[in-house]
Amino acid sequence: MPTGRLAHLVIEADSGQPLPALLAALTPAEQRWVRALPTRARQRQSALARQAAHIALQRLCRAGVPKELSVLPGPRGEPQLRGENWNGSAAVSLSHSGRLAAALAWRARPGEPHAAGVDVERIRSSEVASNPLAFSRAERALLRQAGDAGAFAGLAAWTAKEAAWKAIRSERQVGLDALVLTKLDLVRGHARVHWRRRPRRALEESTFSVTIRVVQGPDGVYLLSVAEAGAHRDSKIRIVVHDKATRPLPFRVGGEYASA
Amino acid sequence: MGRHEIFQVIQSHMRNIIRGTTGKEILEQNSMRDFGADSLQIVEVVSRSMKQLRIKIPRGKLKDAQNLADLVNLFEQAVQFAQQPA
Repeated sequence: MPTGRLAHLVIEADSGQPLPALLAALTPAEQRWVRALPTRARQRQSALARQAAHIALQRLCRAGVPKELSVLPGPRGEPQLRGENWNGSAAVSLSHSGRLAAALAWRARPGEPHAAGVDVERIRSSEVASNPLAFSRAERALLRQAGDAGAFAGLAAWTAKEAAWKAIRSERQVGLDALVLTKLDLVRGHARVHWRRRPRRALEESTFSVTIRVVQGPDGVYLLSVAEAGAHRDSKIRIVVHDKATRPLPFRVGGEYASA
Repeated sequence: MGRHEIFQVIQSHMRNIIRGTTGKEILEQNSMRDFGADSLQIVEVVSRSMKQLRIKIPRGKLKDAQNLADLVNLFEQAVQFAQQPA
């Protein structure tokens, strides 16, 4: 019998529909916020991500989602759920890249401001694996173990850290240096990211378990990472994927690497 | 090197890396996300700009930059520090 809370991951693709069609699925507050964004590209991505969030919340909460529940940015840019009489019983994480958007929704618990995060990045030529801004010296050494798969390893590691960062950024201003990649498994699609700062008591452990997948999107291949916090089974989340936009691709593109 | 030149360096890398900047004016009050940049593109713009300006800024400090004006402020401080006589 599976244990753990359910989380719903929805992946949506931008199929080029007119912006008003994307906006129609949003609440009035969300529409106002999206329209105020300075560029059409940003408006489309944000609208698509919120569309995905609404579907994820509906799947999660069934009848319990208020009609006017809006996903709006909090003080640190993190997505917050706001609505009249909203009881705060769910939380979301959003990501978008290229023509793909992903939204993860899960049951929130009192005193647990962060449990999960999602990141999606389109795969492209990148030297991020050797970028000292993206990774520490120890992390770059870990990624060098990947050899010829280094470019892909760098992208996978980046999405893993970004997903973990999204899980914790609601609590405080957290920089890239607060999260450390300690393990990357390019065979099974898994990573471990450690939060170096002392966590709040509500978080059982300072380590994030990250699931990484490769999917074929409408305009290319994407890496998708979902980070989960906590070590105990009842604090972990089970992810149900709702995805009409992509198809999974084989993941085995390398080996397993860990910090010394 | 003054603030305007520093901003031009950042703008140049933004135009090379972020497709959403094509034909658009880039202002200091904007953020890179305003042009549809994802996190990877932001890191690439910042690291290439730092390399061109020959400055280094600790990763932890960059988290405070909410928009391009904040980024230019950080870069300006780093450039001034780098230009100080030994």
